[in-house]
Amino acid sequence: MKARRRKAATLSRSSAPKVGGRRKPSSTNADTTNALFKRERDELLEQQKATAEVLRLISASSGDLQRVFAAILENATRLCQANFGTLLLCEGDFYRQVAFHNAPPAFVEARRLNPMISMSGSTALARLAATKQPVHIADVASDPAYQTDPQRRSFVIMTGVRTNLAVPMLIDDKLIGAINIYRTEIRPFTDKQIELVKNFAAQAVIAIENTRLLNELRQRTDDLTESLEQQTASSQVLGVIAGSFGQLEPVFQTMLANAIRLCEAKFGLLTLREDHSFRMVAIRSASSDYAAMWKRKSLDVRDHPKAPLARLLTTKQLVDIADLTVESGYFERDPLFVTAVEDAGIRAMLAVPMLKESEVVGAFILYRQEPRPFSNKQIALVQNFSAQAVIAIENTRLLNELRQSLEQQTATAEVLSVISSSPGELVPVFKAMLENAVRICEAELGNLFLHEANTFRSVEMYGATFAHAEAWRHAPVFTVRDHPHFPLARLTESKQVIHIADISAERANTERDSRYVTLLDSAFARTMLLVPMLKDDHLVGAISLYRREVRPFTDKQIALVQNFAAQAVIAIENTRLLGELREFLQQQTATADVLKIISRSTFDLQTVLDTLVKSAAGLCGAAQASIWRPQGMHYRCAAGFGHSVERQAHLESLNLTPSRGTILGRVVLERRPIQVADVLADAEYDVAIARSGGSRALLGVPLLREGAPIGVLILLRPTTEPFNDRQIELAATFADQAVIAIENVRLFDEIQDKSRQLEVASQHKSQFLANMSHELRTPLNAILGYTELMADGIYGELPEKTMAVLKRLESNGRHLLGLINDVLDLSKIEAGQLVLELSDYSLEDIAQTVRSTLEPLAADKKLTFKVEVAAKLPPGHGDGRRLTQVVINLVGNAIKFTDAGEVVITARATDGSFHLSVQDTGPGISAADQGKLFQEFQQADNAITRKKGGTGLGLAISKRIIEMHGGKIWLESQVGQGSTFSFTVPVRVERQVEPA
Amino acid sequence: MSKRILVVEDQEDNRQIIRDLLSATDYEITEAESGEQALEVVAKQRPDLILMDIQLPGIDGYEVTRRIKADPALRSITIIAVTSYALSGEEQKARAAGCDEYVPKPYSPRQLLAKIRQYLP
Repeated sequence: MKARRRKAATLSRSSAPKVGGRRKPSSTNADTTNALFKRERDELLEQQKATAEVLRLISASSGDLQRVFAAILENATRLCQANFGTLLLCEGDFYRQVAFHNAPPAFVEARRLNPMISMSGSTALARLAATKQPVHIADVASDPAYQTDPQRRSFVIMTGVRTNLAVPMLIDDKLIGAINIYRTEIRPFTDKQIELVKNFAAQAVIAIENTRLLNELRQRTDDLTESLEQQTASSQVLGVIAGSFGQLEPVFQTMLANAIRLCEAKFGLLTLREDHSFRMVAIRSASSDYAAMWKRKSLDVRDHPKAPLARLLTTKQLVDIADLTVESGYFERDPLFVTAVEDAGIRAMLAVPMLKESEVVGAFILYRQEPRPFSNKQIALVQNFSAQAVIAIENTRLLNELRQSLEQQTATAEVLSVISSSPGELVPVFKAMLENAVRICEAELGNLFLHEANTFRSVEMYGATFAHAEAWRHAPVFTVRDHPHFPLARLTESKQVIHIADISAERANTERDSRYVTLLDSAFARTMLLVPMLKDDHLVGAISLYRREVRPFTDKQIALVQNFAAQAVIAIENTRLLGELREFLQQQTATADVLKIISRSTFDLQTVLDTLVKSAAGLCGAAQASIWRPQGMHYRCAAGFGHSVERQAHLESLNLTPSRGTILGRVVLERRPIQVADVLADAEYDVAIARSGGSRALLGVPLLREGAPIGVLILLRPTTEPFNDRQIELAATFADQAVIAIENVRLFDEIQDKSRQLEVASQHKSQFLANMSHELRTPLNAILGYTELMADGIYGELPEKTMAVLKRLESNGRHLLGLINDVLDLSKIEAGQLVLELSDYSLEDIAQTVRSTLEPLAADKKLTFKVEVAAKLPPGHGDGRRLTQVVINLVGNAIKFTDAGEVVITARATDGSFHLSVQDTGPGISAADQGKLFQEFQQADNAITRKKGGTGLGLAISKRIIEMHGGKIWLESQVGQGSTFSFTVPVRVERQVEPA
Repeated sequence: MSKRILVVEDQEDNRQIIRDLLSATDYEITEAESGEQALEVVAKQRPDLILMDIQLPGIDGYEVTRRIKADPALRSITIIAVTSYALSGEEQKARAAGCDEYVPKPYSPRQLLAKIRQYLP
């Protein structure tokens, strides 16, 4: 645009308009030249002025082309000294006359009636269209085109034109119009004037272009503005949806407000579909009458099959009606149409379906009071709003569902928390339950019943009127048999939920039952829900809810109450179990306490029995208790609790003979627990005794040891309430504990006794040994003493034969001494009297002692005697003397039983133990005999024993001595391969090991 | 002066043996048949050494030993306990009673003589 402007401007400035004729050079004087220049300059100025004016107009008019064209023509006509001018615009193959200036009115009128001028032919305009060049006709009257064409001719005649200049309006070489100027005289236009008109043509083009572009811009702006408005409207609606938290009213209102505004409607409404009806849920900007009409009654499409909504429902498409008055429904005077048109003034309407998953859930309707259809953009907007409305409705539904769920969850959790926080207490649980149930289910009254043997008892109520509460309070127990038509009664059979929408409809039944009527009236009950409380299909109770209006409970609400019913059952179970547990625990604790006391005072029988009677009385619910023990033929009271001092003293003075006249007697005779329900009513009972105590109910439990009674526990009550199974069991437990305690004492005493006896026996034995020792040794002393003296010649010289005999005597005497020593040793060991004398010793020394003692014996039998003791043996700590005895025994045996070869002693120390072996090349010992060897009095073969001598005690004693050192002794031998006797003892023995 | 030995022994045979044993020596021998008698003899004639049999009727040899050893005037008398009680701990008992030496029965007369000579060279 700017470029063209510049071009035009340039054009107008750069063209040096030539004056029509030539300058006459001759006798023109300076004045003429001046005048000429002045005229030229004035002309130029005028042209500039005209151009500027037109340009200003273009920029100021902003699309008002008529003014621009008028200005152009006016200026062009004036400046070119024409008579009139016209401007035409191309339209296809025609020109359209769009502007005149100064044209003769007849011409103007003619053109007005017929503004289209053909481009064909040879008129100036035709030629212009063909050449796109200016056409300058000096005299149209004489132009053949105008003469032949009647229309042209009439034009000429009408207007009187002679000279005509037509200049094309071109955009990029495309013809868009033309400017015509006419003179009614024959006077051609000058070149300058032609240029000027060309200029104006260019400006006209600019103006047209500007206008076009401006309009485009406007349109685009309009579009954008519209879009923006719609976006704003949408987002506003969405904002309302988001901010409304499930409230649909504000959302719908906002939607309608925006829709009405943006779609230029008069008023609108939103309906929701319910089966065949549409119910108005929001209305805006309508008259109050119209609104009231919709509020009163939903529109049932079956009543108005021609209604737009009916069509909408069937087709699931939008219904766009430009004018209601042309609808057949209106013709047929359907009151719906009539009201709409004549009362509400509706002409155009747009009904858009609200679809959810292809189902019509409602309709969004806009109305205009003029018959103007809605534009596509507007329809699109309303469809948008419809979709959002569906979303809003969905959201609200979900939110409400969520709320409900949450409410129920919270209620359930609340009830559960009450259950867990008040273990064993049912009242707070039932209260919480009913309160929550009534509240969430939107009921007015709740009742909780417990069922027992065909009766129901009202245990808790919530929300009851005074009258209703009183009615139940007076008669809390409802017997099923008496009121068979009561819903509660029906519940016992069906064990199913009973849901009565309107109790008054059941009047047929209730009229028969006055109690029922009273109850219901006092509660103003209409809708009723009765839910059974079941435990393993057994009816435990029921929960009932009432509403004062006829409004059935929803499935969710029923489910909730069933939930509560289950929880109530659990709570009841818990309480029962808890009670049982508590009782059990109490008993266990008491029992444990008693056992503790018993264990602490094991030998204090009296304390134990006292504790037992006290605990038994306490836990078995008895006022008094006593334990009786046999003494000879009678029973005496060993412990008592709960009696007065005098009574206790009296009891302790008694010697009771067991008979059927007393509980004690019966228990002793039958050896099992026995109850007397009422001692005064018992025919067999000893009357005097029965009267004396003041007790009525008695329980006797025997104390049995191996089936025989060793006492009786008696429990007494001043009332005739019998002892239950649990208490009898408990009493039996106490009786058992008493038996244990008594046994313990008895056994303990026995042990004490036996120990004393053993002690005495032991002492006797020691004494005996000492005596034996003395008695045996004394004569031996004389024998050996005298023998020695005789051998020493104290009694004079003796002949060789006598000497030999003497030697034999001595030898036998010594042998006898050895036997006595062995026997005494063994006895000592048996009596546990052999005591090791622990002191330091040297194993090396022992070996050497043995060698020096026994080497002669070995030499006598021509046996090699070797001693192989490891070097640097550690000093030993033990009974050296006894160990020496052992080694002597082993070596002595080896020498005794070996006839040829050698005897070897080896000794070493390993791992804190001494290891000594005596090896011989004797005959060896069979496996069978090896076992016998270490037993007392056994030698492998009695025949050999007799031949070889020896008591056979040696090995047994050796074994004991080694074992008392905490060592081991064993034999390795094979027949024909000699024997090796070995033992180990710890190097250091600090304490002797007691024989097993 | 020859040393005096008191033999306290209730069995005649055993007394005879000692008599015979010591006949070839120059020890003077006195005898007592019981503990009480022994104490009388000791009071009258202080011996240099006592061969004390332990198993005596009445008070036993240990008791006699104790009494003698309790008397400062008699404490220095050597007392050899001779006993046929071969129970363990007997030697300790003897020493505890105050005996200077302990010989178990039956003993070798030779060896007994050697022991006596040890104390009464």
